[in-house]
Amino acid sequence: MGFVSSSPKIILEAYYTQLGRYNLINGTSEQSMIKYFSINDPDVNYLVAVNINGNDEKNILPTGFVVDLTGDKNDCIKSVSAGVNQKNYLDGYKSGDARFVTVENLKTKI
Amino acid sequence: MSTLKQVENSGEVIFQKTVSKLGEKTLSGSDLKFTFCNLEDLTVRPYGNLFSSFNLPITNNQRTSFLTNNTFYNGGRKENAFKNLLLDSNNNFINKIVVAEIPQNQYGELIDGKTIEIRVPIISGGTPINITSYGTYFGYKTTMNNSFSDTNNESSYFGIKPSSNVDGNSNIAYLFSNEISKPKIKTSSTKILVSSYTVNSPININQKIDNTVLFNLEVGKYYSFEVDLGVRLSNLLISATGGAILQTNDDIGNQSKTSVRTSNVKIEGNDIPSIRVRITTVNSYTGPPLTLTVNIYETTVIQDTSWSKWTNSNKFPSQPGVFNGKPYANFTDTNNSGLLIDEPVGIAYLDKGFCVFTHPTIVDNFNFSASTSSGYDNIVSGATYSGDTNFTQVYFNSPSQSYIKYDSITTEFVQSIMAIAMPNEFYISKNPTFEEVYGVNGVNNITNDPVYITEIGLYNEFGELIAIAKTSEPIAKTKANIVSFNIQLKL
Repeated sequence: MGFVSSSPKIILEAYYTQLGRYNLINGTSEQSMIKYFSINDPDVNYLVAVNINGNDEKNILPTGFVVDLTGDKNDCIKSVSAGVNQKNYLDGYKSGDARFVTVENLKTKI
Repeated sequence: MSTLKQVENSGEVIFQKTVSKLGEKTLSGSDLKFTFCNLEDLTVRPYGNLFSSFNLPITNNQRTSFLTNNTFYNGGRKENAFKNLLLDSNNNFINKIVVAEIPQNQYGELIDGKTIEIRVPIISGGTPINITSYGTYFGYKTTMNNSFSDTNNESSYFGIKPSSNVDGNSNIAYLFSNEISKPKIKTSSTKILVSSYTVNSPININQKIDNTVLFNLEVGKYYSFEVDLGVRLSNLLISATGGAILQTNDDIGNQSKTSVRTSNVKIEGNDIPSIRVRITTVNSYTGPPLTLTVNIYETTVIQDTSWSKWTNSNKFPSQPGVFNGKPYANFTDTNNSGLLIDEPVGIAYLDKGFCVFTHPTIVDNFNFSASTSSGYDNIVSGATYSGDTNFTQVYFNSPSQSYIKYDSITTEFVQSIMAIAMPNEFYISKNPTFEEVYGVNGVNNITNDPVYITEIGLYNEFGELIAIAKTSEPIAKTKANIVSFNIQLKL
């Protein structure tokens, strides 16, 4: 008998950027409301993250070694610096799915 | 292109309040400093200002209000534990306190009052001893294990009003010490008639009857005096005086009673056992002449030994009447004897980060000569304190002399955001190394190797990066699997 495993639900802690904090105080509700998310992989070098022993195990960073935004987690992550940005966006969605947008298209609304 | 997907609960901005415990903290040595404050020192040292900071009654109006407001202390049968907190043994307001400062960076938003254990050194009978005090609350409430501070309205005098807006917290806890007064919660009192006499002179309007009678009263014992009127009468005063200290009275005011009883008085060593009992009527009395009986009772305190110590346990009993775990304190005396009221030695200001000792046993006997200077009072920092009783920011090198333990808490407001990557979503990377291995858009990824998620960005509808989260390890995402994130965004 087959079964469908539940998807892993990962709990993460997020921190406001300087722009996010500024919008909370000075912006409109639309400017401070979270509407979209991106998924990124800036901490992976796929030239290294290869299969290492013939099975599914990959040579990826172990737990705790994914670098934070700025140095030591406890001291620095809560002060996300001005101008922080993202790179290496993940992609892939059904064409025409209205739930998907791009940053570039949204920027034109400003 | 930088692909974004709509979050599952888009349009909701609901922050939930969460309270986090930051764990137990122990401070000693130079992390725990003490300062003496004297309200009567108006010009030399500025620390009398702290009486205002800690909402202690200063002016005559404040003190009169404190004494006459039934909420706080009104003497006699209405007296409560604030008497023991703010009045000395001669019923004068205390003018001196010792303040222990918990540095700002050593606790979160609030200290959990029921977890406090603080030790200070004093001199007792010429010998150095250490006094350990514990934080606790007055009375029993089913919610007290979840409270970080005393939840009684009376505590608003020193802290904040414990309303539902602040989860019932006053931000105040009270300190009690076994070396000074053990818990009286399971203690009971009983009165035994030891003597009585009858006033032979009938009492008339505005008549004062003084009877000085020699009773065989014993030093160290408690007595009360009761007048049995025989009929109901209002506005009648009974007072009993004797020796240097013994003095008690009770006025039934406009109440109509058939008897009047004084509060308990303890016979001290310099009292004389000659007691003058005075009975005074104030208002008009039109009834027939009265014959009054005066009874003298000895009040006996029965100390229960099963729950007889303040402890460092942080858990109160599960229900009233069950006596285990952490003792709570008696604010008033249900027997009206006044003997079952607990005796606080100080107040912990949980949001301000200060413990304030008010009890004269600690304040007057503080062992400052064993302390170390931190550079105040014209004494070199690190040198043994050589000044007088006006010590400032002194500390004790040995944790056996001085320490404080407590749990601290912090409150956060968290918005939960659900971000779900379904099959056929977010399986292609723009990472240059991905494109190097698998080709642009992963066209060569014929084995369906995963991409590895290490970062989530949260955007507003204008494409502005509002918040950012990192994973603790790379999370695999293939074309076929589902990955969901519950993102906690904290204010």
